[in-house]
Amino acid sequence: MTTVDAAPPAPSARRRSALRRRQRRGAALFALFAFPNLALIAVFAYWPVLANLYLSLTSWDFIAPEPIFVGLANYTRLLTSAMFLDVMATTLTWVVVVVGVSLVLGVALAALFSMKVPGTTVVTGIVFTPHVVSGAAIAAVWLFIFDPNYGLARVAFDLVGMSSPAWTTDAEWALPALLVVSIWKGVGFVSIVYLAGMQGLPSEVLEAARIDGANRWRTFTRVVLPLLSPTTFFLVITQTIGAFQAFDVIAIMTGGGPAGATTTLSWLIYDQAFARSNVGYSAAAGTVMFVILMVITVLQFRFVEKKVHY
Amino acid sequence: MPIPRSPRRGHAGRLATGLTRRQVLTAGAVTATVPLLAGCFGGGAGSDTVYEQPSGDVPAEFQDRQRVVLWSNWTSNNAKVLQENIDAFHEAQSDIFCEIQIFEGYDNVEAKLAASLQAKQVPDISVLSDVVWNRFYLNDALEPLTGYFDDSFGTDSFHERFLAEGTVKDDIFWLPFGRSTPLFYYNRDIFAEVGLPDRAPETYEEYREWAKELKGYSSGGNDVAMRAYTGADDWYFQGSSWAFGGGYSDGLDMLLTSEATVAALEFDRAFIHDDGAGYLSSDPSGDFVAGSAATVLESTGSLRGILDAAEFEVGCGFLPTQQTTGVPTGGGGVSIFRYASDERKQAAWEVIKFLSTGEPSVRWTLGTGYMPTTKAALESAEVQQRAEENPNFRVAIDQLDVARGPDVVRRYVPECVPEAKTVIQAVYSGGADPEPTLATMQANLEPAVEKIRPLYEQRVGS
Repeated sequence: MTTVDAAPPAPSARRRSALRRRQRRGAALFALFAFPNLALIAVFAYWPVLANLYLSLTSWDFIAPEPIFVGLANYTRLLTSAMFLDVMATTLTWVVVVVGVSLVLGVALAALFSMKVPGTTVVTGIVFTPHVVSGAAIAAVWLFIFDPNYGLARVAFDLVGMSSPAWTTDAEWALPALLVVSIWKGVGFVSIVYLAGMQGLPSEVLEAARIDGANRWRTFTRVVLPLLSPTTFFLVITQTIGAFQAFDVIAIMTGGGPAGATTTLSWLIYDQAFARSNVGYSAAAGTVMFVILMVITVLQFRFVEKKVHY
Repeated sequence: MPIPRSPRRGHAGRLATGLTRRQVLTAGAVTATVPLLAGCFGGGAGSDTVYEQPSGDVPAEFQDRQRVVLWSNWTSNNAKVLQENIDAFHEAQSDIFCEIQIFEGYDNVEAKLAASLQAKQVPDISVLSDVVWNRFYLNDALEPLTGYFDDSFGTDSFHERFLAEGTVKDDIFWLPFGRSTPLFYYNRDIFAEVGLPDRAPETYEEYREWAKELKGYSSGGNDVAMRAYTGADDWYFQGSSWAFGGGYSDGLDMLLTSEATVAALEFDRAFIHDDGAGYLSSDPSGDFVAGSAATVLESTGSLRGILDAAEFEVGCGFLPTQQTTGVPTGGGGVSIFRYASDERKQAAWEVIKFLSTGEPSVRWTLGTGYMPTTKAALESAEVQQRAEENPNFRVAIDQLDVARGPDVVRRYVPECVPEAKTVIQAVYSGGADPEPTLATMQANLEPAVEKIRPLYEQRVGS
């Protein structure tokens, strides 16, 4: 009897099988490393977004046993209310002013710091400190500064023979007052990021500009700023998202008042949920904010990024 | 021969429904998620439901005792006095250990309670403010307490006016604890210099006349206003709206646009913007103590702090009247949660009973400045002595006879207080016309009132 041994697998089949094993092992390893992070992101980022979306379709006060499904009623009420337009106007003012002024001041400060005049390190530290101090503590200090009766601002106004405005209790002054505090708190971070960006610029390009006869201003506007565009792009996105989510300074200094003058979308979300127990309405406002931030970020990536020089 | 498209790509995966496989899968995921999400909130607790106790620390020497968790809003001095009383409770008996867990401010306690109900954990006792406990009652979260009273500690132990506020349909759900009323504080030195009588004005009209006499008075280079208003609390406006003959509501029927309520707010507008006699302040009692304002309406609970901080003679009086008196009660009380086990509820009751009787209740009143809520505390030698020594404290006690709880809408409709704060800020700060402003507030509140009406009528009565 003749036995015929099974033919050994062709070399290419063996290679494919080994490749598949390697791929499976790689996928398993990837899952092993990625799972903890993915699980955390799923639980603490995506799940709350989904839960918020669900709550926005309900009427609930946190205490009642069950949320009541109301469909899109919260969105209809929110988007058709005059109050929402006021809130959006305040929010956009807040975002545009805080982001715009922080970026302009931040890049100017970074330019100053990069000159390395004596004392720069100390000044850099002083400018950056507000960023790492708690917003609530800063707000409490500024409440004293802005006090029209015995605050530091009053002393400054006295020097020029003027009376200090009622910064936080006058509807016309409250928003500018909070903007000042918010910019003061955030500009240090912006300037440090810009400074890091400036220090990473290729020296040969700057040298070439100098050899070509460009003065400092021209070099700054035509060479430095365009080369800093990735930094600017990063800051615009992070500062915009941060400005939309501003909360601590508002909570301590004005509570959204007087008469809603400093109510931004983030404060509205808090106020509706925790002061008025309108969980569904608040969640609808939260979803609107989520969509706005998504749209802004996508638009920035699609259109602004094209002007970024990497 | 054409190459067939992969079913995984493009539109080749379109199913008979016209939807792509991806769309169907997404819709399926969303559909599956909705009940999952719905299950995360609420839970429809039944009458025999028992929730867990929040975790915490039990010292080794109390490990064998029944643990009671008390959620409190009080911090600093008041927290210290409360802890002293709880320490005394631990000394006085050997069966129960009470752990105080602090969340600063009534709002934070409320938010934490709301979250804890979702997590199916409840403290046994919680401090709840006078405008919050009602909502927990409406949702059947509070234990009826009438049955816990006995001969040694009857319902007549408490001041009737305060006890009535926590009573619904003849059952007690909220016991008075850290209660207060507003007082009229005035700077006696300024009043003497200006030639004003050494007393509080009897009516709001008299208050306005006195403000005109104060006009132009300055101290240390600063013009002194008659009154520093707060925009952070509508409590005082609730009082003046009654004084002018109006109010927020009669039951659930709104009174915000009534002539009398509008007149009350118009008085404030004219006082601030026509007479220049008042202003919206971020810290009214601070301004009063600093001498920037000659008078302030503040809680009886601030009496001790103001007396300690002021470097001038402080006078206290009843709130002004107009058509009638208008003194709202405020502050906090304590409730037991229905979802605690019977053992925990009984132990919680023992804690409340201890805090509300004898020496602890006196210590609480004298240590915090809150009103004595039990008759024993009110009539105690120590409290009477304090009243003899300090006539301002006597004023606070005497004013209780004309005080009453907030209107129903302020207590049961959560949007009411924030809406009222927006209104008074608009008038005090920007000088808005009170009539349309109050009309807007009423219109904004109508849907919220209608939302709670069925439950209110069922649980409280029409």
